[in-house]
Amino acid sequence: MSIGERLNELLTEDKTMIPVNIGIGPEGFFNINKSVVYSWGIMLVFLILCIFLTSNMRIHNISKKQLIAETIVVKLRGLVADLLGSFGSRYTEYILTVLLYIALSNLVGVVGLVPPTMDLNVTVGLALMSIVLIEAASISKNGAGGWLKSFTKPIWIVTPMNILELAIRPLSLCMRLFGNVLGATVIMELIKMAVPMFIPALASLYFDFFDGLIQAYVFIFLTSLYIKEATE
Amino acid sequence: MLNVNFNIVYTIINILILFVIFRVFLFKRVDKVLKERNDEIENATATAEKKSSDADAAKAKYDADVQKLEEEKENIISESREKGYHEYAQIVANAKVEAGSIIEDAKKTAKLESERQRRIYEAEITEMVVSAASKIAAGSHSEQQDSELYNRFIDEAGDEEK
Repeated sequence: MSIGERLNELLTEDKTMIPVNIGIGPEGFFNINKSVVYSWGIMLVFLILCIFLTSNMRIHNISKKQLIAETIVVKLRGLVADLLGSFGSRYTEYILTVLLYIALSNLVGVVGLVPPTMDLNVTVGLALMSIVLIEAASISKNGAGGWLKSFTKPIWIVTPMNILELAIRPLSLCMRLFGNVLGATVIMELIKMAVPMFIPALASLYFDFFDGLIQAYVFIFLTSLYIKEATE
Repeated sequence: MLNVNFNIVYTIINILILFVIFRVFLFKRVDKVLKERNDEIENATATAEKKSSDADAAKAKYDADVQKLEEEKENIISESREKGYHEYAQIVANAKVEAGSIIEDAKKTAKLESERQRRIYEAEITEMVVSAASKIAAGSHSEQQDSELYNRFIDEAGDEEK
């Protein structure tokens, strides 16, 4: 199989995992993709992990797993506290949810699965939620009038730009994540075909762990930054 | 590759469910424990502070009590000292008076006694003189006899005196 064929197969494969036909809309519109099914797996992993870590919590004489749970929560909160600002801190838990979801999604490439974030539907969904949250934060802070006025700031002439940003921000968020994960996966495939031994393992360290976690952080970093900017 | 469909909605639902999972099973549980621990620490601190201030108050009261007792003690001591002086002076004065009267009595008694003795001597001397006179008158007498008589009288009188 040539490199071109492998890439073609990777990029054009049918992502549908569970066909759903409810008789309306275009054909295959409601089919459930692999990415969504993998996401269920990720959710299950997180659910089991959370229940395991937080069972039997005590105030004194804490167990090691409780210490880990507490450390994770405190560190993660500290990670986004500065990014979100004082008003935005109420969205900390959502931001951390997205961070953990994207991080684990990007890491499933390590075990040979296709990362859910390589599906554009997933990144579009995440980006839509981010832009909705950003604008909702702005409205809840400044009121609907204040939110509308914020489009004319800092000067009335930039209003069209600000309106365009409503589309540009989520687009850049979803495309950045999608493109990075897709690129990493494609490059990993190429490396696996060229050098089957050792090198893929090293490359995986970079493309799956480093780049995957960086992209997860970048996504929530930008979302937090937009929220902070909108609520200042 | 770029076909976008209803999976966007599935993803959004997934994220919301995951959010609930994290909230219920991680953040709320951990936050609850952290808050309880924090409350306990604050309670302990407040209790400790209260105890400390109570102890300070008790110590101040104790010091004041000790001070008061000290003053009372000084008062009692000086009072009893004064009283003691007073009683001492009175006793000494009484003793002086008593001693004076005793001396007076003794003097009187001595005077009476000496008076009595004198009377006795007088009586004896009188008797002796009478007996001597009667002897002289009764007997013939020479100069020698007179001298003997005189000596005997002196001797008798000396004996009586002893």
